[in-house]
Amino acid sequence: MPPKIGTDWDSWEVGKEIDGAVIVVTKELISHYVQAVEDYDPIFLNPADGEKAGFEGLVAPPSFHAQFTYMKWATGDAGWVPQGSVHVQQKFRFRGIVLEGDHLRTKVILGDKYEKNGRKYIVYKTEVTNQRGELVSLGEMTNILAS
Amino acid sequence: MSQPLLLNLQEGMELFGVVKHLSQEKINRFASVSGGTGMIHVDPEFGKKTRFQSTVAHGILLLAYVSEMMKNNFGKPWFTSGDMDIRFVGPAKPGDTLVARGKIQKLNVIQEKTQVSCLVWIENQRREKVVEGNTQLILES
Repeated sequence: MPPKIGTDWDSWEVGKEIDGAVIVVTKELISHYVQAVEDYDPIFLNPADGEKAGFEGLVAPPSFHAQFTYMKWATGDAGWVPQGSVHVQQKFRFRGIVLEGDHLRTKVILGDKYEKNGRKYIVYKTEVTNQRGELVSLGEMTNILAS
Repeated sequence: MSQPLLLNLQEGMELFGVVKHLSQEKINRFASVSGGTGMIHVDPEFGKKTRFQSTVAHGILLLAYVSEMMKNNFGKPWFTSGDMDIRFVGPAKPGDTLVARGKIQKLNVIQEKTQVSCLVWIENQRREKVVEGNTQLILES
């Protein structure tokens, strides 16, 4: 596991890949996410409703993969950043539909790090593609590190 | 989402909002699903010692509320052409009632497509903004 940024600031190289994973999108994962964000749109629950709305089956919310590109590693005991760090800015570019059965490949790189007004900022950049190599989303997350 | 909520788009038009009642239980549920188990989100005792004097919701959870609003208003094109630039400008705490809102800032017609730019924000029950930013998407004519 990479060292935590907050304790090893100097060694972190901008542009270096930090982590990545492949996630198989299941009906259960979509369902758990939908319950957590309370968006009970039928297209996220029933394949037939997804098809009726013009999708090719059960579809995931556009923000679905954000949990995998940041959250599992960004904070918590296995995290990169110290407890108490604050997420201040987020960009997303949604470019592909995620369906049940898709295999999402997530890549996270350290996009930037800088100090401003006595605070340390880090910027993660993410790219998510599917099993056909098609771009699903690009993201950028800015955190202020807890001192 | 059988049909997008917004029709006959015009600049200045308000989006249909999304209302969420936040609780520690809901923050914990999102932490469990996402793995975002930072103490600032799930440990009320830790939260009391921070400058927020409370636990706070995940930024990614708030972002999901804005995305839901955009999906409700514009439908399928949001999935494939949606852009979000969001700033988290205040804490969203357990007990808050949050409303995601927005309005169309600019419509730019290019050939057969319309680029829609929106101002978006989330405010709490005191009408304090906790999120603000911009979204954009492309509609095929």
